[in-house]
Amino acid sequence: MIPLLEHGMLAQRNHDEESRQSFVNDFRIHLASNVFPGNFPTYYNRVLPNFIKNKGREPETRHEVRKVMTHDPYYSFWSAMQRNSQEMIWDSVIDSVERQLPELIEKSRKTGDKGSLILDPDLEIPKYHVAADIHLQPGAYHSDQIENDVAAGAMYDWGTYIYSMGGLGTGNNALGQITNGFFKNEFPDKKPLRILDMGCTIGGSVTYWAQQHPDAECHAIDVGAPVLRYGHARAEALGAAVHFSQQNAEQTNFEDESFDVVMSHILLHETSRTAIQNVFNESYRLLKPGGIMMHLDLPQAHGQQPLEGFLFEWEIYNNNEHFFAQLRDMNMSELCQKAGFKNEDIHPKSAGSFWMDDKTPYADDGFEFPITIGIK
Amino acid sequence: MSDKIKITPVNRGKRPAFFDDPAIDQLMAIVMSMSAEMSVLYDRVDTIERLLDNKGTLSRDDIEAFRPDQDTEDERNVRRNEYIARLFRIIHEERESLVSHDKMDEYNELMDELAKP
Ligand SMILES: C[S@@+](CC[C@H](N)C(=O)[O-])C[C@H]1O[C@@H](n2cnc3c(N)ncnc32)[C@H](O)[C@@H]1O
Repeated sequence: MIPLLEHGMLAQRNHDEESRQSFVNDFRIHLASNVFPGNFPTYYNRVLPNFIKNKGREPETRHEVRKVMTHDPYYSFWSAMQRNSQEMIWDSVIDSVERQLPELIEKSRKTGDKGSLILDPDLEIPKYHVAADIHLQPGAYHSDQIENDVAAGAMYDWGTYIYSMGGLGTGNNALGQITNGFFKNEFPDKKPLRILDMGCTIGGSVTYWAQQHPDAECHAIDVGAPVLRYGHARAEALGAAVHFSQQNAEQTNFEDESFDVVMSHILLHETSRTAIQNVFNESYRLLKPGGIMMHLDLPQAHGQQPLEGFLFEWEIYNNNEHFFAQLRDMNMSELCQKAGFKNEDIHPKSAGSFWMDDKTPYADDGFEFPITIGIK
Repeated sequence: MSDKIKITPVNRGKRPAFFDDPAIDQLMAIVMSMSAEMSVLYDRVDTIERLLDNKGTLSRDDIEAFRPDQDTEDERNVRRNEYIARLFRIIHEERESLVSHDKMDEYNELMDELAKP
């Protein structure tokens, strides 16, 4: 496994920890490229014929496929391995973070001052985040287990990199590269002066934006204090000016019409039915006239075949991504309209490419992330 | 060691069951952890061999300080992938049996059957 680029806040791995992470990474690649594909012949040769025998027709929805596939031994075995690999990610990351936590906290308190960090200890953590550790990260994004905790950030940095099997790039910023490349492509004349990233976690994406737009004032919010502390220290270590604050994206303390760009990267699917509308409303409120909203998230169910749709949803049922089940069927344009965007100014688009090399900042092929765009 | 900080899960949620007997789910997790540890051990042995090749002697600190360069990591990747493939031989056999032609024929025949008026 190619290691993440050093930025000064990374937890250092000892000999065996590095080796263990490489195993988990290679194991997940093996699952994805050699075991997962077997679900297709399993379905077409075994599960589907049985279904047809019993019902006299093919399954019509991904939910019908789920009912039968989850009993198939091949699928179950793959699924059990996949779940284990997810738990093994955190297991392979946690030791080095636990060992170095005091030093990492120390470092995070002595950062540069290009950007800033404002925490709000009274902020209520939304229910949808307390309900379950999303993608099984121990301690989730928000829990402070010791004073000035940064553990969640340190875990997230290595953990998501292994989770994506390197797809997030060695700078852990591929999503930011995608939105930024997309933005430049779609709006070549825009020079944003004030940018807000919602649900920034450790700021992987927004820090990339700050590096690409050094003249802009970049803000980043999240509800989790430990990820923000880590993210701030990480950005400073990378020499990027980002202003982090602990706020709920549903209702922030920024002024009306104060941003040229309001965006998020895979935030929406981790919210709730009420929260997502609030996020769109808030985006609209914060944008200057002519400003651009861009929310990048995971593919929706529209247009997917029942089997494909079912397989895509594995994370929902086995990796604590509960709201994603509902988001998959939601109409994003409708949410934008309710928030105030005019129909002709709403553009659901896709942009993507994962597993790109760091030199390709944006490509319109590969894994496609839908981006919901609204122009105010 | 006693004052080591422990990061604890807040709420894992319900663990999904993949097999009818929960013991199989547990065994599976144990086998997977063992597989990982064996791979770690292999890398450690590889480190020792490389250090001995180069210096003829070694200390624990040498081992801890060793980090694979790109060539070494490439070699290890190849070995790890072969190892993982060997580990899952039985699964790949099942997958391959499922794509075999007679099973496809069975499926196609069934479809033809159903298509008849
Ligand atoms: C998958 S992570 C986002 C990754 C990040 N944007 C990146 O590009 O690397 C989702 C983040 O959204 C945050 N979040 C969820 N709901 C939120 C809300 N209502 N307001 C602010 N942040 C929220 C979570 O705490 C978590 O850090």
